[in-house]
Amino acid sequence: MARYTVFLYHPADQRETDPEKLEALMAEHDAHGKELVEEGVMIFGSPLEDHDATTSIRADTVVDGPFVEVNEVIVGFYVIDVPDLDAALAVARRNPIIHQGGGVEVRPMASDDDPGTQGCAGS
Amino acid sequence: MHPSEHERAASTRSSVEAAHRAHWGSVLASTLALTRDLDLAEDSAQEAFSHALTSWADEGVPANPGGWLATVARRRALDTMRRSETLQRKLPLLIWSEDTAPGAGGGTGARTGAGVEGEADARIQDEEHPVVLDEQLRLIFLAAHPALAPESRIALTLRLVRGVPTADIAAAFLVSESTMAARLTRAKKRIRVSRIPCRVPGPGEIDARVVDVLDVLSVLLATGGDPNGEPGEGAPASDAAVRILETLHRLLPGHTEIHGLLAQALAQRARESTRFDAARRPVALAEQDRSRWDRDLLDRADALVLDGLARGGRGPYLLQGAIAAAVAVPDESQEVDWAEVLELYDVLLVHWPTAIVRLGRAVALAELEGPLAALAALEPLAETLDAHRHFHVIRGELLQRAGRDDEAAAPFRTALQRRGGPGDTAVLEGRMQQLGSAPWSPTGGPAG
Repeated sequence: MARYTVFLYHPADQRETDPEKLEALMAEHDAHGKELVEEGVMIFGSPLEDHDATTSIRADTVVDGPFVEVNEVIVGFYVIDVPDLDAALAVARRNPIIHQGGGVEVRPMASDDDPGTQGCAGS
Repeated sequence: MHPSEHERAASTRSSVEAAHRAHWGSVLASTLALTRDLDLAEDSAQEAFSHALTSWADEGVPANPGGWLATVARRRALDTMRRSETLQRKLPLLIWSEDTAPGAGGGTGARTGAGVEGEADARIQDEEHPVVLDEQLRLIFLAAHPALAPESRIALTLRLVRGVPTADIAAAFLVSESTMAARLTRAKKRIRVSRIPCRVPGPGEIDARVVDVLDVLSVLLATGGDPNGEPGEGAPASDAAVRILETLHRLLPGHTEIHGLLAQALAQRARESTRFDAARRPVALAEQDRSRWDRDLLDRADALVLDGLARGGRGPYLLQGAIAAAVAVPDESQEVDWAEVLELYDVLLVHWPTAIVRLGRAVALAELEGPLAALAALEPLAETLDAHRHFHVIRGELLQRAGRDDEAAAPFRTALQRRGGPGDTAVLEGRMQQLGSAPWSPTGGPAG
């Protein structure tokens, strides 16, 4: 088995402001998250507070705001445990953010058995 | 060296080369099933072929060359694995999922070697009837995996599936050998780190993954792997593409997009000997000597298209195959049914509304309604296709056909400034001379 982190991205300027609509969108994510837990695929995950709630530290200064200004921001992430990349992509493809105008990024987590990476999260 | 010895060495070499063409894929795939390590499997397969050069010279070519090579490659791989067993395994093994693979596999215990030894050898037979292993299908899908960069997919397909040497792949890509070697290494690292599995995709994903493979093969067919971008007879890349298509067609019958690209490749191959003149200049379809076309190949292309359409296939590759088959009418007394070709283009446009498809449609339109109608159809494409030499050549030809020679010189001149093969350039320069115009404008400089 291998672990992957799935990052959820959404355009920063297309944030849903209507509370009811936002709640409906989040409900989709809750349901999807529960599904993945029941399937035994998801290890951990969480939505993130707004991008502008970020605090950055560079050298010895603490700055209000994100490290890098980008158009698409990370709005959540989760860690899954699956046999291989095809399985990870099959899981990630089902994420509601994809039909909500955003997208996902699937990245393998470094494992102890690969000397090319700093091992820390080996299964 | 004694003359007869010299002859024997030459004949051994050609036997090994033939075995390489026929069996590289199955030898590598069956070794990989054992090692689950791409580099080790490749090295072992390579060693087996080098060993064949000396062994076959001494003892003659074995009855089943492919089986012999697979056995030697696996034995070498096993030796290496046993020697390094005391050492800590350095790299994670290639993911060899068993869930969706068709046919009998080696099982999850393949690394012990017991299950694989011998069993595969019987399936790898002589050159005339190379048997394809389902392991080979895994390699084809692995090399064209959508998580790999497009240029890596093409390079890996040539390397893993057909065993094309790195230097030849580099030449086809117009890059140095070391650049290509680095690219291949990066792609293999990507497979390892991302854990891209070596498996045959399941029913829900196979159609999309087949298209990924066909996208790679269509690039190989289009460029032929020739450094100048001009496919010649037996160009290694297009030859490799046709062989892989035959393999896919045999192992995944009923996939109509495979029918389509194979039909297109066969129709192209049938006309191979007439597509260029003695000076390697391209010859227009209408001027090609149809009596030299290979009718058997064209018949096969027709049959593939008809079968694909009967199965309900309407994908872009099948439709392009249908067009390729429709315009290659081998009989001098028969005309191309341009109305049918135009109809096929219209269906293709529904699924694939690209400028290149519109360009093809305009050419068919010229045959039906004359050059003026086609020129009007080209106008909206001018901006999108400006970088394509072909677009300007077609525009120049249509203007000539419309009797507007004075206007035709400009598009031919523009075409010369776009990238293209030297044979092509010679034809264009000839055209410019016919029109009584210098191949390039005094201010514009020669073609780049």
